[in-house]
Amino acid sequence: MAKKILLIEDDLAIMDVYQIAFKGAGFKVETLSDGQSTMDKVKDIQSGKENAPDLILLDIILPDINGIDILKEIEKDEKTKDIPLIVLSNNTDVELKRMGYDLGNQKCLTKSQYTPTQLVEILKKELK
Amino acid sequence: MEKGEKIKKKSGEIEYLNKNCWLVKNLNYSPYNRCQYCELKFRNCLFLQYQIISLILIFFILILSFLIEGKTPELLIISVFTLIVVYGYFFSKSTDKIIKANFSERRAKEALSELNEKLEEKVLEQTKEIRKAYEVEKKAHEELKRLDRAKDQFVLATQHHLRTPVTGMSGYLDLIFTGSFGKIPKKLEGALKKFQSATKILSKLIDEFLDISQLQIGRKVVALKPNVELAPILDEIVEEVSMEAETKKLFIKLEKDKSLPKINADPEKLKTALFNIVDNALKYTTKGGITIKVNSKDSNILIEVKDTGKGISQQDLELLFNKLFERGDKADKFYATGRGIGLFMSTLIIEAHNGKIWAESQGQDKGSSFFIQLPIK
Repeated sequence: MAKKILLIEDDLAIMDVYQIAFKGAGFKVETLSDGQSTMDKVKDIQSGKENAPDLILLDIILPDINGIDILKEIEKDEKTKDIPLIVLSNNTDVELKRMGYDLGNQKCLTKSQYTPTQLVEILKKELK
Repeated sequence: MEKGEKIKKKSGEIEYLNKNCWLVKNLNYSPYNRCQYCELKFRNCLFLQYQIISLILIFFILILSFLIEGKTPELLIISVFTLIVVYGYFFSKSTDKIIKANFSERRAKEALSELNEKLEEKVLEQTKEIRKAYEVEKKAHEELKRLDRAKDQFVLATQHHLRTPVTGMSGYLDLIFTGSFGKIPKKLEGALKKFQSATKILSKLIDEFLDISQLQIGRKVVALKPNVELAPILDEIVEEVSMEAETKKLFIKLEKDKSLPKINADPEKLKTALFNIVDNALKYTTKGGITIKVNSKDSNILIEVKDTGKGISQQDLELLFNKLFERGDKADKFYATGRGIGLFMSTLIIEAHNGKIWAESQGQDKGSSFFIQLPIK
């Protein structure tokens, strides 16, 4: 059965690129482009209204809500905290990375440094 | 007349008083007390002296009157009168002196009070000036902090805005080359490869520019995390440069220990640092190839990037790891030749990992070796 990826990305070109690459690699992809709808989605998963994805790809800089706040929300609930999560950003700010590490997230990737093909390989490793 | 004077012992007890002060003993000493005390002695001593002189005179007149003429009331009256005149004269003189002494004491007190007032005014004035200077400095400090925050925000926003479109461009190019949009027409393939190459350079330049901007505003560019495996990072680097090596007909070898210990590292930044060194080796090698040797020794991991390229002169070796901004006019030359920002950044990143970087070369056209030492813990 195809693994389900929840992709949160506000740049439509990047979202399109990732969607094509992930679907091409056999993943099922669900996309969200802002913080509020992501927060709602996380809460729906936590309340059992929706099924959890197999992996979350979270862009840390979103137009309305900071990705760190979404990370905190994910980490605080048993139903969401064990979902594999990769933080994606084009911001290499060290403090953001450190906050990500402190919240238990071990993967903080700079988008510009990985091609979609490389990202697919990373996803496959994470989902093994 | 000589003023009252005293000498005191270390204990504070008065040891000596001159003739004008001989009656007073055991007074506490202080510069002020000393003045007061001497003035008092002066007055007391004058009265005493006049009393003694008066008694001696009366005694002398009485003896004289008995010896010469027996008890003569007239002479006694004259004597007493004379005595009163003499006494009155000396008393008025002594009173003058006391008044004068009081007057000079009052003047001294007034002068002291005036001086105190002036001093107080001066202190108040200076306090105002200091407070004003502090307020100015505080405002300047707040303004600097505001500007610093604005600069930070600018760099962070720039990172995001510059990298995002480049990520989209390189992403689509990657999809094109991996066949997501079907087979690439032959006519288009060459142009797309150049487009991809230019995009990679642009992306690298943006990364370097932003990292240096962050460093210039005093931000760290490295976030270390524990238990990072070095082998996958090196594998990725070799994979990424292998196409270029193949194009230049150069070999690229990676010789590493089977089990390398994990280290504390920022995987992305460490990869950038090592990539720059391997990429430089490739750039300056036209025959032969590059060998990357990795092994752990004691509490360190040593990476050697050895090339068979054009080598480095002793003079250039000395300048190679100098910080870019300290090179002055030579920085332009280094940047123009491509050995500058990349190596500078690599040095900073390695140092931020508590590591060391150095290079060795036998000279021009004899190849060079770059060594990177990273602590295991």
